[in-house]
Amino acid sequence: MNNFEDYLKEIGEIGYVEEVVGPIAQVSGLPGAKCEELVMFESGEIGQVLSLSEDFVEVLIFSRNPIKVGVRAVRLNKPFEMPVGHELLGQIIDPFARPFDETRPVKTPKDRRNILVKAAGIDKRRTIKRHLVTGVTLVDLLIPIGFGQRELLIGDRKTGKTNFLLATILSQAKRGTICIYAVIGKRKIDIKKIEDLFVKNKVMDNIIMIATTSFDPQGLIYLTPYSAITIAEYFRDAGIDTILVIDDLSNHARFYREISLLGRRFPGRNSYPADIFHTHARFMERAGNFIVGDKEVSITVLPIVETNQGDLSGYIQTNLMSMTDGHLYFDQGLFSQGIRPAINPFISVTRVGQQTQSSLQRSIARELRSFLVLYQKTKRFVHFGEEISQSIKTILATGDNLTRFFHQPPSSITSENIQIFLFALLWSNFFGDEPFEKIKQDMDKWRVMYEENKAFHDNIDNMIATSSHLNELLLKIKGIQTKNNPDQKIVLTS
Amino acid sequence: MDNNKDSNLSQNSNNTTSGRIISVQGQVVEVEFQEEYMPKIHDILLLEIDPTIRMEVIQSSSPKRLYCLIFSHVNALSRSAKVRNTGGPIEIGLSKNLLGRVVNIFGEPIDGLGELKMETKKSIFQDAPSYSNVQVHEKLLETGIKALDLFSPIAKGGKIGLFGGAGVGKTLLLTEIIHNVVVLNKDKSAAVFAGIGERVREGQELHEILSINKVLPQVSLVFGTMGENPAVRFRTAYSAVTVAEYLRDELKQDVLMFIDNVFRFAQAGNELSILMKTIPSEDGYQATLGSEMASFHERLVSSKQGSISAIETVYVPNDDILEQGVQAIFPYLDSIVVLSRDVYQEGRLPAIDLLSSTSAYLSPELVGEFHYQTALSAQNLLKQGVELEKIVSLVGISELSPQDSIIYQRARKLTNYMTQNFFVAQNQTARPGAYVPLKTTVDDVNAIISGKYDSFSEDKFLYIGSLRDLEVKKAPSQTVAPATNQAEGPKPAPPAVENKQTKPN
Amino acid sequence: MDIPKFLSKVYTTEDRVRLYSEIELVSEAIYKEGELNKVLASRVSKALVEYIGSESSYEILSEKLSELKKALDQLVIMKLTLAFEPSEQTIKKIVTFIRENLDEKTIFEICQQPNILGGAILEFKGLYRDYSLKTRLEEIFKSKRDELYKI
Repeated sequence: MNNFEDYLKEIGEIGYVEEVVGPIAQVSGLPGAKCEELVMFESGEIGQVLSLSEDFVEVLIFSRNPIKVGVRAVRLNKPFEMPVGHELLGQIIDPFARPFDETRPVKTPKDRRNILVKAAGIDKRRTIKRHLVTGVTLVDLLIPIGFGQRELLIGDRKTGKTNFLLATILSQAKRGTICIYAVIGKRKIDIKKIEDLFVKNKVMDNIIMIATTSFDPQGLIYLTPYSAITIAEYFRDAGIDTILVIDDLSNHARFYREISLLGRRFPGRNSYPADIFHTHARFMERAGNFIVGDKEVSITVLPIVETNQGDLSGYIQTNLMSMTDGHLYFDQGLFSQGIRPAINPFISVTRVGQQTQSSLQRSIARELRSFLVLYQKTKRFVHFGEEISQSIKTILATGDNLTRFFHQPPSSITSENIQIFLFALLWSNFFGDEPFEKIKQDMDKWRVMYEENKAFHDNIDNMIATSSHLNELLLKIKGIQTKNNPDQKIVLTS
Repeated sequence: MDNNKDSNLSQNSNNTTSGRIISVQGQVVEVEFQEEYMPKIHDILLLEIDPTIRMEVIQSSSPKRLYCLIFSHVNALSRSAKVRNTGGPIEIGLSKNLLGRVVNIFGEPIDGLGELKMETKKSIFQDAPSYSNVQVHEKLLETGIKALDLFSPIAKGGKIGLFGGAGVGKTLLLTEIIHNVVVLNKDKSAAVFAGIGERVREGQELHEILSINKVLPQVSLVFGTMGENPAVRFRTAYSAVTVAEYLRDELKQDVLMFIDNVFRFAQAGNELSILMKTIPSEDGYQATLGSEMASFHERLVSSKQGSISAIETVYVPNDDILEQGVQAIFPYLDSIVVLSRDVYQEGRLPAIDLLSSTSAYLSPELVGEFHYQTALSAQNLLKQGVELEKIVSLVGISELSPQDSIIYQRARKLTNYMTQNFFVAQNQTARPGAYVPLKTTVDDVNAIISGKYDSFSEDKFLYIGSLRDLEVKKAPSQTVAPATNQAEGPKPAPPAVENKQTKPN
Repeated sequence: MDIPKFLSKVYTTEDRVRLYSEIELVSEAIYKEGELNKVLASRVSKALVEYIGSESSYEILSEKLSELKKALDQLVIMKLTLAFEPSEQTIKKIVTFIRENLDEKTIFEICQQPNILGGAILEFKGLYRDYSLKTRLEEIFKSKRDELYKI
């Protein structure tokens, strides 16, 4: 990269810093400056042109080193282009593709891409068809996600959103999907914990972490999601599916608000700038299911946004809900009852997920959903002290069991088919009145058997694949039980 | 020593008809012109070094300076760059070739299907038809969606708004209306779909649905999706209206105008007004919100040449229907459908709040006495149901008097009856869609109210088409599951397993 | 003397800074009995004295001074970096040349930087032009590097 003097001679324009307010510098001179162009200060710091006023160029500084008034500045005649390439896999980088950890150098890829491009139009897109397995049964059955979907994770602080994301990434990384984890303005220790988890699970090679701490310059934090999706677009164009996690967008909005207010932009609703919707929308729209060549390739986005006391009707929250293709609501109430994941299936929405499910899964989802509604209603009735009939007791028992069935400790993932099988057993009252602890033991044994015993594994897979409705599956199970088929007996008696 | 005569240096340019750029903030550009050559409002200015960069004059910023909206990306502009006045506003190319194609704000094709031949070009700013030219049509537009046809009927030439917060099914409802009216009813009308500030994915899916159902040739789509800058989103509304007017006046067709979503039009105007430092009005909106809504809606009327019926979705931010951006739209609508999150969470689709949805067309003159009375009785029944629900949730259903109990159950049956499977949601729900003719709906509702279906349990009314479906099928689902939907109490669990199983260890 | 004539005698930023302090001196002296003439006699430049002329009304004098100050504010600065310190005459020559060709009210900020060896570096309204000898030599070295290595 050229240095300050080189640019000065090459471009032939000079500027002087006249005012500095936080991360924003007002620079005089530089007559040919354009918006989004890069600017370099004498000390080597980089900034980006935010706006042009008659006398000044407004520059967003990407460094925490203070820029002094009077310092010279030069423009680079190019927008910010970040290096992208396969070399980034397994690394933690900042939005400039520099190593996040200075002690671990990163190989810089040769390709460069502008991070602020427009989203692809309708001629490059296709309907979302493929199911994205998260490994979290509650989601995979009831609130499924598809490749190319943008599903918002919304809920109060500390309700398990990050854990859910980690489970999803583990599931997908194990299948070869590339995951990009973007951390926006968080603590270093939180970033470390996440990295450690990936390393421990040996999936780091399929992951790129792009991180900014809360201590980083606001301008850099602001760029993080755009850099992240630029990397995703690189892989998309190379024909590889990516999942992009943004942790989190409420933070991003706050930092952008800080920049805007310091830049004297008129405050809008909740003091956010008027273009906060556009700031997020132009990013969100770059995800989806695309056609590249003759292949369908997707960029899936799972952004996190925080709520206050479960208020879904906040400004940023509703903005994001209207941009995304659904949301998973992490309920503080459920969380404090110990339910993991604390996802509320009634409030959560998936707009394009169900079309990716098999008909078996869809029939399960339907039955399950209507039962859960009933279960909720029944629980409310019980408060009246009315006499509890046997049928009500059954409903409550089944509902309780199902709730425990869906309980998954943080970052644990399960295979789909065995879960469907176990669910069907539960649904058909196979276990009778046994206490759930015993049921769980049996289920765990079966899960292990599924991973280790190939015959069992294939049997289960076959049963699932050949059933197109929950009823069929249940009949098959019933058939096994009553016929006592020798092969299957291994399953049920060992 | 060289002299320093650069073109940049001589600021008092000799080429005086051009203007020059003074400042750029977001999508708003300030330009300066000499007085004699001052452009007028709505004139399009081109950047001299790259004429594909277009901007529209919006208002004065100071005596010799103007604010302009730039439609292209701002990164091509620098200060003192010259701009040339084209002398006219944005024009969109028009021809019947627009039907079946997807275009952007300028009428340029964006569906990748090749060039579009134009017959004429028109400014996107047109006047509404003169008073003498305005026609009042009185024909009903049947949608086949029970709740809509009964409580919020649409007439040709009228305007209906579908209001709702995020994720309650506005776009789905709109798409179903498009499907039923255009595909099923084989309505010969032309249709224009304006995608203002909505997702590209939805635009693509709609395009695919129309294409698969072979009705794409009847529809012209104009998109300004949410990834576009606010200037484009703002003006796309006008481009779309211009297309509708063209189809009405030149091709002399009845036009169905679908808009998803009108709120984004107000929002884009808001984003732009803040950049122009206008003093904000209520809720932070632009002072001109009212007149912007008017200039847009007043053109969507029927003239002697043909009718324009508008079906618009309106996003309700923060679920706050009192928000000014939403309230500004109400005066222009004849029918209102409100989608509610509470109804959605109960699992009733479409998630229509039956008591909040109304229509000016619900009058005996337009819909006939029978329909009118039925709708009134239905609303009455539902209101009573709501009151009784309060009691039931406190003391249980057994505490109701026999008459109240009947009314309560009928109300619940009616509410359940209003749920419906959508054709366009088939690949999500795996349930086939249903079209219910208006007459059937009215007859059915009457039947429920008058008690003819008292013997059927209320869950049987969920997601059926007409009441005829009740007679044919026995029960909607037949699984060996523990229980299905019931109000009073669960059905006893059918014996799922005959013999108690020996436990596997 | 009118303002344009006055300004034509202002060549450098130093000149201007000096004039600012002189103007301030005069402004303060206006209302002090007897001070004004003393100041005009010995503390300010001839040009300023000429400009003030025989104005006796205090208000008009104040106004004239503030007009002058405003005009001085509007002068555009061209920064000139030279390897040597130019003489008065040289400066006058440069100024006249620039003003004829640029049609601007330009004054100069002259910096001395011997390491540019010769030529000049110009900065004007954000534009930067390097005509220094040092840079030219560097360019020559770069383009003729192969030839030079053969030597």
